[in-house]
Amino acid sequence: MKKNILFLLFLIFTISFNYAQERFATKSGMINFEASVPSFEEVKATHNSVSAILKSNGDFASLALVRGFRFKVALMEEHFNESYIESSKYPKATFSGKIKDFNSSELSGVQKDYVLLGTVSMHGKEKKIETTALI
Amino acid sequence: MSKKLKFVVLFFFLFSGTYFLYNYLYQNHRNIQKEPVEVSVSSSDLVGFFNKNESEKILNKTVEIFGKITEINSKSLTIDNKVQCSFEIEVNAFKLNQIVTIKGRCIGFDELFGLVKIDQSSIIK
Repeated sequence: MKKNILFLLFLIFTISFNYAQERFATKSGMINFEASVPSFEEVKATHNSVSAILKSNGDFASLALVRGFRFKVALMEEHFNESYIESSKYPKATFSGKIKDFNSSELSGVQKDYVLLGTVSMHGKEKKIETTALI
Repeated sequence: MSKKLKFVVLFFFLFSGTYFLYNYLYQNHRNIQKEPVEVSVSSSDLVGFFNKNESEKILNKTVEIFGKITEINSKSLTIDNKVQCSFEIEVNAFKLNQIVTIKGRCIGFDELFGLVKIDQSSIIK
């Protein structure tokens, strides 16, 4: 179950950026993940106050306080915090990395795919990932 | 014991068992708004808890903080540039520099911005 959560962790950032000193930042980003299985109560949570900073050179950092994940079922939220993610021991989930070939001056209203490389760390473990970011 | 009585007793246990199981599985979320306040401090004292490594005293607890609004977003207010309170509803009836008291659940310290985060907030004053 612990591994499942890690692997099925599906991050969607809907970020409202504030422009300040050549960096884009938000304090109210959103992370959703879902690890549901058929014919069972949906295992799905949302976090609405994730911090994220994107610098103009493509450096990206994000932090979520894991206790902020909200589930539909209260007992599931309790088990998630106490038995699986152990949020009192590991209160944070972070990501830090770099967006390849990113140039903030090229940004426009058109969405574009970028390659995002970095390290996810949560529950005391670190894992390198490479994924696509839509900006 | 008559057959009928056995049946009634069995039915009673089955029914109450299901009832308690259901209530256990689908218990309600914490209602922060209705819970009594456990810690009531100013925004800078709240940050002090994390600087002094005493965060376990306030984490996941219902806290009440007071201070000046320094930033307004659609669903969150920042107090004294030290505490960010997220709401489940839109908050736009506020002005910058207004003094407020807010109740919510403390979820931790965010190093990226140097802010303490509070969710499920509600306005007290």
